[in-house]
Amino acid sequence: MIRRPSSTPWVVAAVLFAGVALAGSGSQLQFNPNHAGHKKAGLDCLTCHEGIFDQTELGQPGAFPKEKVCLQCHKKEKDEGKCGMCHLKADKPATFVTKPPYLIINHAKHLEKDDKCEACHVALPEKTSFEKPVPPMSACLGCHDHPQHKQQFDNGQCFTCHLDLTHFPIKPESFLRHAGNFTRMHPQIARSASAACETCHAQSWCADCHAARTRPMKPSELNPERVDRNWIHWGDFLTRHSIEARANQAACQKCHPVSFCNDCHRQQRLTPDSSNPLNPHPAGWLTPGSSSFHGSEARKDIVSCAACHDQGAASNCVSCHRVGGPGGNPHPSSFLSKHSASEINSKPMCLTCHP
Amino acid sequence: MRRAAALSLLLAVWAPPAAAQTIDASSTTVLRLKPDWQAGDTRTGFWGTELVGLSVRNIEMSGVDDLKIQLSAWGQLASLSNPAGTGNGTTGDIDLLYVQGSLFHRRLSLTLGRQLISGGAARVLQLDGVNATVMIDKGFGVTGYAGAPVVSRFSYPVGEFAFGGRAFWRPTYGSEIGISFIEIISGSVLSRQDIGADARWVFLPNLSATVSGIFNIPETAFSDAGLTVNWQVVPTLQLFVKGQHTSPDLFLPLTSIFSVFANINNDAVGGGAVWDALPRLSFYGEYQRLWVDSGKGDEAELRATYRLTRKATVGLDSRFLFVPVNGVIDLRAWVLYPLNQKIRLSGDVDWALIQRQAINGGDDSFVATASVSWLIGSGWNAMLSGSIGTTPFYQASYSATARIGYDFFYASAKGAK
Repeated sequence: MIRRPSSTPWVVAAVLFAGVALAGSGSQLQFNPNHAGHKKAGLDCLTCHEGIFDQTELGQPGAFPKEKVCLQCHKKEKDEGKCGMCHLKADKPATFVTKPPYLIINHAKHLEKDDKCEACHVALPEKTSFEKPVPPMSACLGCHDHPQHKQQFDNGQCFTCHLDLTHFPIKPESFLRHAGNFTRMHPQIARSASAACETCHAQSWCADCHAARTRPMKPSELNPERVDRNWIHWGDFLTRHSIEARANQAACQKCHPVSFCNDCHRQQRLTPDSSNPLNPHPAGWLTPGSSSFHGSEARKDIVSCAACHDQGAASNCVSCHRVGGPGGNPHPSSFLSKHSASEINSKPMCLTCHP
Repeated sequence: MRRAAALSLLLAVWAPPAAAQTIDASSTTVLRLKPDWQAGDTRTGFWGTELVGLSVRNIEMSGVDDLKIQLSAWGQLASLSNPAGTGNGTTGDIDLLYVQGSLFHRRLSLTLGRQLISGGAARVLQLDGVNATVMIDKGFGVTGYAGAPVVSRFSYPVGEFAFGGRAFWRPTYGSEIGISFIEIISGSVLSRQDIGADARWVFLPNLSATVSGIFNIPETAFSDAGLTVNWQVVPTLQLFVKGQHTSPDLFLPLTSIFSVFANINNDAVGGGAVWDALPRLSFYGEYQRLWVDSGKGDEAELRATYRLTRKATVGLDSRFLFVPVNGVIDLRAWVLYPLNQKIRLSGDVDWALIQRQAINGGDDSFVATASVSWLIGSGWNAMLSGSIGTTPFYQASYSATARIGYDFFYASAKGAK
């Protein structure tokens, strides 16, 4: 049930304050106990982490020991001022940093079944490492007493364990590894596995590139510092674009409608409807038999023609290429084998020349 | 009355965040200075862009799971008219604005508003409308959508109404088979009508294949088809092969006069590898043979990446693309280097050599970019970037970009249950 705020400005202020406080807290590690040393000394995990027995949600207090638990053994070190033994900043000793929860895990329930922490925590944090090992997903999926975890994984029900994959992404499984030039490869994969993509990537992530119809700038312009990314329009794409388009016109059209090309070309005075247009065509363009005759060029790359000349059915092509017109039949040789005369009335483009 | 309505709207917008467990909000301001080339006349232009994003997730509502509100929008001021022709200096749009939620124990998922429809024959369609997914049983499900395709800011009418759907079977995570359909109508005339079939199968955790085809019904031809096989041979070596067929003329709407002029087929077959030769050194290589209507071509890419430290990287990238009429060799070198945990430097030099036909009288371009980004803290970040070079379009190319962003994140511990 939605709780209505009694006083909206207070709620907004509180939310903003919480955000700033959370962001300000940062994720800097403050405390780094020697797990291996404790284990060597024969200490059980629960000696220090007794509170985990009652923890039903991540983020609840008690999972990490208070200082008095440490002092049961290390009072002497504290008295001698050896704060650096545990605290990373000995001059400004601080306690554990509270992080927002990102997993749904009921420790109390799991420990009821089996109190062996290492069943899930297969590796202990190392004192020298800043990256703390988290239980591998295989530990969850391999639990024979609870086959539902495997079933949840198969069904893509990540939300049963992962609280927010959008904000706390995990490394993709090997069959979805984003290696090499994944930017080029992902359309094929996403066509049939978009649900798998959506487990980590929100639509806003896709929209950064795929909302090309509404976005004001290319991702490479917005993030020029990410030189390691495989941006499609990296560097001087303007110079390359005509060659790229020749190699794969469809790739351009997936994001850019023909009018995108037309509007830019019009500004360069390259389209017939621009003011005082320039002629971009080579010599021999209108000469049948010439190596650069427009008819044969158009057969090869009609999309390039459309990039400047697609101003509707009455555009300049149809003024010549109509029945009885000087341009003759514009259809490719295979056209008649695919289209019957009966289609004429159902397609407005046919009616332009075949009234 | 108007004030009451505004207050109601304000409360309606603020109330869900108040009860929500996860809130992501972002504001990004980008200032850009660069030349704009118009019909040989180069002028310097200034663009100021503000992008905002809001994602409110896990909103509590009885009977509804995963309730979410998503917004992504922007506004722009420019000293020149937009190069792509918006015609004036002030513009803006909404990329996404939708409400999403699941009902009946996640059997039915609904998305309402401006959204991206992805998968199957839809490819990626930006739509103002509704999208519903019904999970039937044993991994079987159906998705259906209807609405108005988003009109681009370049005023191109894709069509006034689009509808379509996809039936799928997801036996395991990552494996899926689907058949799909899409139709777009423009002024009561058919603009696009496609059916599609797609499959992605994970044979082994390290071996997967994807195949898909989109068939244009009025032209009775495949507009798009592809096959990709990925094999992670060992943890340090991944091999892939792929084949692709496209008919670019079938990407033109049927309402374009050019749809009757040509049958174009582009095909590509190739493969490549990703090799982590050393813990710090990795290679990526790919080659494709191209068949375009005017002949054959080749495309290859080779990249080496070396990690100096955990977050410092240098890379070399070379790409070769040759089609019958022209070709380009693109060489790029880049470096990412963090000065400390908050400040990061990056640099990039890109040299493109045009083969065979000069463009605008020039046969190469060179652009160098340097950037510094700063994680200020408390959600704030900033970036400064500048680039210089020479290109066939600008005798001297330059651009300067400044960006400042604020990211706000709030997650309630209440979500962990």
